[in-house]
Order: sequence, then C-alpha cells, then structure tokens
Amino acid sequence: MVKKTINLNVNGKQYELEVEPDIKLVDLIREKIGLTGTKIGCNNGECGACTILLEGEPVASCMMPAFKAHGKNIITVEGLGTAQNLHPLQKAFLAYGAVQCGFCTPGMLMSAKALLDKNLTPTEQDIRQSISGNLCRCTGYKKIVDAILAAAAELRGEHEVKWPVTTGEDVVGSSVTRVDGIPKVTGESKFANDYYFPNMAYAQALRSAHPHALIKNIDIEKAQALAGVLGVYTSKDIPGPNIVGIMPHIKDTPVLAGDKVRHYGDAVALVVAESAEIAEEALRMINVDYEPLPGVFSVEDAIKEDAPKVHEGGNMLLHRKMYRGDIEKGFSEAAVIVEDNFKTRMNEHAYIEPEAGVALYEGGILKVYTITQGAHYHRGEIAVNLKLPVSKVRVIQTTTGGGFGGKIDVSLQVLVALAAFKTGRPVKMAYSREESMITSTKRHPYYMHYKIGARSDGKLTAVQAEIYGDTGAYGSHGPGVLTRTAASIVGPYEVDNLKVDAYCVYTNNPVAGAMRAFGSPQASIAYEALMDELAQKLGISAVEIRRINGYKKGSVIPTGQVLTDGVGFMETFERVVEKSGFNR
Amino acid sequence: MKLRGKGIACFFYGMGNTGKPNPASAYVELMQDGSANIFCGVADIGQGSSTVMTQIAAQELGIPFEMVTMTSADTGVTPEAGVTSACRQTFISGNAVRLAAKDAKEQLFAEAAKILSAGTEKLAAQNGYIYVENYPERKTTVGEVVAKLYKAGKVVIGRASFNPPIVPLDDETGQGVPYGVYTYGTMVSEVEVDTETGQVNVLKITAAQDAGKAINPLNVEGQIEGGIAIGLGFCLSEEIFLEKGLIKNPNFNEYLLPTALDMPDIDPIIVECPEPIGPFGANGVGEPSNVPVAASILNAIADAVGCRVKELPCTAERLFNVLQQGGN
Amino acid sequence: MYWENYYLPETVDEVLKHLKDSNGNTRIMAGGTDLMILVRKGMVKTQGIIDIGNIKELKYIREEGKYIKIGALTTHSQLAESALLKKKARVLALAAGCVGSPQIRNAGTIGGNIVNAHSAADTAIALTALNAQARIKGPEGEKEKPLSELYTGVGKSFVDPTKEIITEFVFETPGENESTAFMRHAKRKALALPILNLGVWLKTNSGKNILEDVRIAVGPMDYKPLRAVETENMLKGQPLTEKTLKSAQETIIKEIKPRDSFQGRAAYKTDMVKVFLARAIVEAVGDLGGRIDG
Repeated sequence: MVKKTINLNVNGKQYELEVEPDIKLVDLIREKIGLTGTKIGCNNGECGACTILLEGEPVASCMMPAFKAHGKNIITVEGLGTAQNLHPLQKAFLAYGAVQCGFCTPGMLMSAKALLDKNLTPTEQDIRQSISGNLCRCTGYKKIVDAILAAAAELRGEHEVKWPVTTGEDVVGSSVTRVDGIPKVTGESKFANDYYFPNMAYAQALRSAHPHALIKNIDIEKAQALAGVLGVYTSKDIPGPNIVGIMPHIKDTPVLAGDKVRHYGDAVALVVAESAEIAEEALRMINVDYEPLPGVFSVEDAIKEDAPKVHEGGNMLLHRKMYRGDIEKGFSEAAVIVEDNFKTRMNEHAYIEPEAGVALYEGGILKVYTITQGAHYHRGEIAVNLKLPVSKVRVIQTTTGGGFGGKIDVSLQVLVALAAFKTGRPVKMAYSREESMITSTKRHPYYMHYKIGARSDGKLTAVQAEIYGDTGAYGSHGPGVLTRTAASIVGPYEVDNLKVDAYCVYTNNPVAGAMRAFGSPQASIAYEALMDELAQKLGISAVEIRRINGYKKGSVIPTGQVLTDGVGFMETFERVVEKSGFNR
Repeated sequence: MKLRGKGIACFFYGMGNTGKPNPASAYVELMQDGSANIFCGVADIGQGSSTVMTQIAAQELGIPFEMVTMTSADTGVTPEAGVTSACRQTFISGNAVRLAAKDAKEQLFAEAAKILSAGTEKLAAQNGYIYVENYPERKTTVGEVVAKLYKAGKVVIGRASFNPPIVPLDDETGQGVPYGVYTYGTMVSEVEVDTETGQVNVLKITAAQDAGKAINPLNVEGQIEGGIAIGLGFCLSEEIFLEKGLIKNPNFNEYLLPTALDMPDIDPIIVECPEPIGPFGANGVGEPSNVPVAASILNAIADAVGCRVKELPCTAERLFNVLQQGGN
Repeated sequence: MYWENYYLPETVDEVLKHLKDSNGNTRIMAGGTDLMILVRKGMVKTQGIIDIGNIKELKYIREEGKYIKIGALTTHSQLAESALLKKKARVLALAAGCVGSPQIRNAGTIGGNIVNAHSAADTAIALTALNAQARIKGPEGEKEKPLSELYTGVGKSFVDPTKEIITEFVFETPGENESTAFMRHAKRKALALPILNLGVWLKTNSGKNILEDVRIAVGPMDYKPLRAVETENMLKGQPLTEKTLKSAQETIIKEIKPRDSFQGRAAYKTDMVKVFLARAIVEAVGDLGGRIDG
C-alpha cells in the first residue's frame, strides 16, 4: 500500500509521519506516536476509552481514520499534565477516588477536560451528560462526578483540590491516594495491550462454529502457507494434558478443543503471524470438519434423562445439599408460608479492558505479561500444559482494567504462552470486545424456587429452596458459586430449619463462572421479595421482620456456624433505615 | 403516571473460598534507610489491594506510608496469595502482609531492645521511630536498627502465610464453617416508575456495609458505589441474548451497562464493627455491595406499583407487561 | 486493509471531480462514525475514501426567508446546541442530542446519518416530521428530494456515495401556531438504540384548540422513517381533546410495522407508540400554550 504523509499536532508537538492511508487515529496515536495512554475498549465507539480531543472536541479515536486529524490539533491524556505537574482534573481524580482500574480514566479525563474548557460552572447533570459516552465499570461514577466538580472549583480559582492526601498518625483508616494512582491519571500505566517488544508477533484463535460438535479434522495447510504466518497450532501441539480449570477437582476446559467443542467460545486452533491482520486472514483459511451434535441450551433440557451429554460424566456437575433442622416441623410451626419462582439471566463482567497478554520465551524462562486476577494460578496452568517446571514460568500481572471475577479463569494465557514457546518470538494476543464477550465467563443464570415460613410474630421457621445454575460448557467456579448461594440462602436472616438443594448444570451455553458476589445477587432477589411478602401477610413492617430475623452475635448460619464477634449487620440495618427514611 | 417507592434488602457475605483452604503469603524486606518493600502475589485489578497492603505494612511496621513499596502479582518475585476473588484479599492477604511485617518488626525489636535497654514488649514503632512506650525520648529509628543488623551480617526479611479458619462442608448436609469472617450490609433504593411505559428511574440508593475496619475509607466507598453500578445493570438493563448458545449481542451497544446518566445519587455508609481476626479489625468489602441492589430496587418497584417482576433484567417492557396483567 | 486512497478535498466541486475520476471505486465519508463500522465488518468495501470533513461550505445552520437550511456536514452536537433550532425546530435539536454519545455527536454529521439510511436515525425522524428536502449534487447536477424518498430498502439510500453528495437539508421554518416535539424511549439514557423514537410537527388554529395540520414520523418501524399518514389525516381538523388522542392512538397502531428486536418486542413497541404519540402531541401543543381538553 502506498503510504501517505500526515501532519498533525499532538499535545503541542508537531508530527509528520508516513502512514497507511487506512490507519485509524487510535492506532496512529498508540503505535506510530507511541502514546499508549489512549485505550481501546470496544473498537466500536461504544465505551469511550479511546476518547481524545480533536480541535478541543472529544471524539472516539477508534472510530476515526487518522487522516481526519490531518492538519489538526489533538490532545491525549499525556497532554493533560505530568506526574510532576498534574492538571487539577488529575489531582481531583486521585484525591476523590475517581480512579480504580484506571482503564477508562484517560478517556474520562478527556471528556471532563472538554467540558471544563467550555464550562467552569457545570452542574452535576452537565457532568453526567458530558461523560455519558465514557463507560466505567468500577466506580459507579459518583466519585468521578465529585472529582470533576472539585477540579472546576480549582480552575475557577475558588479552592484548590487537596492533594496529595496526608495521613494522620495512623495510616490504617486514612484515605491515602492509591499507590498506582499517578500513572493511571497520566496515561503512563501499562496495561497488557500497551506492551510492545522488538520483533513481536501476534496470535489469534479460531473459535468454534458450533455450540456442540465433534471435530473430525482440522486442515491448517492453507493457513500455514500464507506469507507472514509463523505457525498454526491445534490441540496436538500442546505438550501437556491440554486441560485447565480454576477448581482443582474440576479441570474440564481444553486449551484448544481436540475431539469436541462444547460452546461457541472454544478455541480450536491458534495462528501466530507477523501481524494481527495476517493472523486474522489465516484463521479464515483453516478448515474444520465438524460433526454437529444436538446441544442443550437450558437447565430444564440438560437435566432430562435422555439429554445430550456435554461431558462424559453427564450434565449434573454438582448437587450441593444444605440440610439443617427439621424442615417439616419448621413449616408446621409457620403461621404464614410464602412460595415463588424467580429467574435471572446471564451477566457479562464488562470490564472495559479486554483480555490481552504478551509472552516471551527467553533464556529458558517463559515470561507472560498479562491481565489476571491470579498470576500464580495462571502460572500453574501454563506450566502444566507446556510441560515446563512451574519455576520456569513467570506470570507478571499487568495493570488490569477491571476483572470482577471474569479474569480469574484462563483466557489467553496458555495460548499466548504456547505461541511464544513454539515460535521463540515475543507474541501478543489481544481480544476484541466481541471475542472477549463470546469467550469469557458470565454470571450464572439462576432458576430458583423458594418456600419460606414464619410464625405470626415474624420469626422465620423454615426455608426450602431449589436452585439451578446454568454453568454452561465448563465448570469454572460453578460449584463454588452454587455452594455459596446455598450457604447464604436467606441472606442475613436466621432460620433453624432449612433444606436447600443447589444444582450446577452443564449446557452448551457460554461458560458461567465467578462474578462479583458469586451467586448472591441472584438469591437476594428471591428471599428479599419473600421477606416483604411475609411481612405484608403477617401485617408487620418490612423493617420489623428484618429486625427480628437479622443476624446478631450468636446467630447460626445455614451451615451451622455460630457467628461470634464482628457481626455488624444490625448496625448497618439501623443506620440505613434511619438515613434513608425507610418507614414501611 | 409516575409512582415512587422504596425498597430494602440486606446481605451477609463470607470472605474466601467456601469451606476450602485458600492461603496467602507475603514477604517484607526492610532497608537501611527505614523503607520497606512488600512482596505479595495479590493481584490488584483496580479494587486497590496494593494500596491497602501498603497501608497495612506501614501501620504494622510503624513507618510512613510513603516509605513502603508494594510489588504485587509477579510470580518471579512475589509469593502466592491466591486469586483475587471471593472478597478475600484484604482479609487473607492483608493478614499475610501484616504478619510478614510483624515478623520483620520482631527482628527489629529484638535488636532495638538491646539499643534502648528495654524489653521488646515495651517497644513501639511509629513514623519511622522505635521507642519505649511512655518514654518517647528513648528512641531509635527503623533505619538505624536495620543498618546495625546489616553490619552484624543480618538482613531483615519478614515472611508469613495466612489461611482462614474453615471447616470443610459435609457433602450430605452442607454443615461446616465455610468462611473465617463475614461482612454485612443493608441497602435502601428509591425509585420512580413510569406506569405507562414500565420505565424505572432509580433516584437514590443508601447503602451501609460493615468493613470491620475501613483500611482506606475512600476505597471502601468506591467499592460500595461500584458494586451498586454492577447491581443496577444486573437489575434493569443488562441482558445477553442467546440463540442456541450463541451470544447475539457481544458488544456494548446492545449489552447495556449503566452510563453516568443511569446511576443515581449514592449515599455510602461505612460501619466498623471490628473483626477480631481481620488485619486491624478489617474484613473484605469488595464484592457484596452488588448483592442487595437488584433486590432493593425490585422491592422499591413493588412498593411503588404493587406488583413485581420475578425475572431479571427488569426491563421497562417486562415491568410494563406485569403492570398490564394487573400485577400479581 | 480498509482502503488504499484517502482524499481530503476542500470544496464540493473537488468532491464531484474525485467521484467522477474514480468511477465508483471511491466513496464519500462524512463523520465516519457509521461508515467505519460498516467497513470494519466488511459490509462496505471501497478502494478509496473522500473525506468531506474539511469542506467548510457545508457546515451551517441558517434561516433564509421561510426556510431553515442545514449544511450536510453539520455535526449532531452543532444541531443539538443550535439556538435557532432550539427555538424554531426543537424536534431536530432534541433528536440530534439523543444520538449515541458526546463523542459520536461531535464526529457524526446529519448528512452522513441520512445517507447511512438507518430507519431509526434520530435526525431522520426529526427531518421527516419537518418534511425536509435534501439537496443532492451529482454528475447530472443538482436535485432536491423529500427525505422520505431517500430510502430505497433496509440500510439502502437513494443517494449513492460513490457518485453524489448531499449538500443540504431544507425545511419550512415552523411559524405561528406551529410546534414540534421529539420523543425517544430507550433501555439506557445514553449510548443506546431506541426502542422507539417519534417526531411530531403540528399546527393549531389560533385558539389552540383545533389541530389544523400534523406530521408524525416514527422509528424503527420500517426500512424508512414511517410517516403515520392515516393518523395524520384522522387528526386534521379535530379538536384537541383526550378523545381525539385516543382515536389517534388507535389509528397509529394500525399503520406501524414494529418488529421484535433486542430493544423490545413488537407488541411492546406498539403499546409505546400510543404512549409517546400522545406525549408528543401534548408537549407540542403545550409549547404553543394550548392544552388537551378532557
């Protein structure tokens, strides 16, 4: 392709570069100019992580050809302020706790700057409107709004943002600024996709074309022959057992599917090439001969006796029983019994940073820079599957743009390690938003049946529940999730008689695993609805029924454990009731 | 018509992997200038564990926060701390870091006791000084003690491993001790429902959580508020459309997490009911603020309109349909 | 690789010359916010791009005689913030303010939005309610087309961006006793496709109690912004009463063609059209100082 000259001013510095005429602005900024503070979260203009200022206006640089900036002025996060001389917005983001994972922060700062450049007296609504194109999954936005208001006040010359935050005598209990804060507001933090090494190659995985099918043959010849392809790998190329899984007794997930695919997110082949584009092209040249199998897509179908089996051992991965007291006696003592069914759907973690990693095989050590919620866990899976001593694998967590449970399981870590191990080159692998959503774990969809009884004074006498969790094609943290649900089946309300049957069921749906609060938000919608209904039927208040049953020191939880010290439940309850004016 | 309502929901949440050992470990290295390095495998994914670990180490060692540097989640350098999950890091890795710092401090105090001619039990450390309790003028510095030990051929390294006290759950009855410690919380949501469309507008959320001890109050608030955002999306707007196992909306254009305009005003309340086996009384706070969000919003909707959606997400359409059927 | 050539002309004449020279191999890009997605997904293929972003002569919002004229390169942000539109054609300002996010509104243009031919494009709904005409320049010179005739199929525009360019939108400035309203219902308050969007232009008698004329545009109901012609005809000459609104609601659900989508099921969209049609009329009439009698 004939390159074309582009002139632009970035952060006050003039650049003249020879680039491909179809390069996107975000790629120009990150890869040609080397300013990696601008992030790519969705590549579709839907998350705002790539926001930069073009002639002072915030725009999505992932949606823009670079030549749109020809002859123009751009400001990126690196142009806002430096570590030594922070902009009031950067100081305020740190002082007010507006930064958590930091991945949305550069884009958020750009939108905030554009607002304050025009309006130094914004209302809260103005601020929310101006950052409405910047998704944040960590903060709930409140502290971001607070920070922008504070920065506006400093810029108006009213009062300076108090930063750095000083500690008192005690560090514990002080709201000191996060230790990784400054690089997160200046754009210096390196997330996995911000790592570049000389001679770096790129890996991409071919995903399954079926939710459930046997793999008869994988023809990689054409892909291998494509210029720029360094290697194409299938399950046969994995030295070790080709299996991973976060729960030690349920290792059921192949790194590269061998004989069978169980959901659309399964990887069946891995291409390593000189560029991501070549790798992508090569993926299209791989021919997989599938023999489609009937699939199961709901718990209801999966537990039928003649249901297609997702795994050899059947679709029932776990039946967690939690039985205590005498359930019949409990219900017989009840003045009122309420009963209902509830259903929740699959939830995406939606961390704004998609999965990425770079692996290098140097001097006998396989180094993997990657997103992770557990570097040691990922190290173990890499070592086992590449048949390397654990000590020869070094996993280095990069600044990670949110996880919420979705970066616990192995995603690309073993694949990118395999790529470097086989080719000897530094290899990067970075998921698109789509690949991230198709392959990553989800919150378990739940089907819940609850029956709760209470005496006329409101005291709970019995709880019976059947919970079905759809864990999808692989176990992941499923059994842990269902067990946690069982152990907190009626939240912080004490009941002596209970019978809980929680089932974790395989289907050919996307994999469900750990997600922030593990099976508890689902159960909560059921038991809290029924607590309100019980109160109504008994003619007591929603407050009273919770006060009567709420955990106190000495309460016994569903597993029989007696709560001793540190039981702060009633204090949280009374303070919220008072402060919110809740009175029914 | 627009109707308002309030709903309440509560939670308790155990720290760590359910009924299973899940230890964490840490090293603390002290330098001759009185600064310290902590090495711990805990992965900070934005929740702030590196900051919390640094605070815990600084407090235990009695040196300024700025003198402590945390190296985290690098298997070539840091010892294992388990996965960042299950709300476990502040409690479990926090204890490991605290105990490692204590181990280092005990090595210091053994030497300092000689310098200050006092029993180690009489010594205290603060702001980089080691002094005899009640006699603040009888003091030396952390750095001086480290240097003295170094000259004697000793490097001060603390190390520790911590595992929460659990009893595995019985397979047949589920009885046992699933978690070492718990956090608790309560939430009230206030909503406005447009009865003609089913649209729910969440106006305000008041949320309290028992942090045991808030190591970093601003971070605790951040965890409460962030959990609420995830819970709000779970309740009202986030939906994956599956067609025979295939996600039809793998994008942020049709999978709808809350924007700044969708989030209500939040009033976070930190309750501190000290946890005896938590580091400085702390327990974990990261995960559970999203537990009661959907429940409290659904209860608020029921309060406003007298009927409820029992299937999430409670989109305007689902609520509208329930309203059309005259409730339930 | 997306394309091999990239042109940045500064005048419409240069654009026309590039188009002519490239013989259908090159297409126009305005803000690029829609086109970039289509190209990336392989739904649009082109050898070259003519980026018209630098053509200053196509960026304006002005009142000329009885008309408001809008240059095709005006961004959604400029429309949303235009004092002239907010005062005289609020439906368009409000619609533009609902598009995507600030980032998208700053880049995306009204011309690009129309050529892309999304039936539910907010500005298309507004322009349809305003009965706007598009001015198009091509090899055969200049022509004017009513907005409703620019749609030839799902995602297909009458305007061929490899041959011609929309330069301007023109509509009659709403006058005395005339008002507009825009309604949008979505699952999220920003960055969300509409479950339903609806634009209304109406004219009352001087007593503000009789509807003399009305135009109603609804999306996403068809391959183009749907003009609810039967409902309009039914409404003309009717007194502004609850009863009239009820009749309008019953009429409009017979002429819309909603489909199931991730945004909502057809049945729900039908119910919502009734709600938002009534709300739009109430708001537009209220804006004139009138009200709906019980």
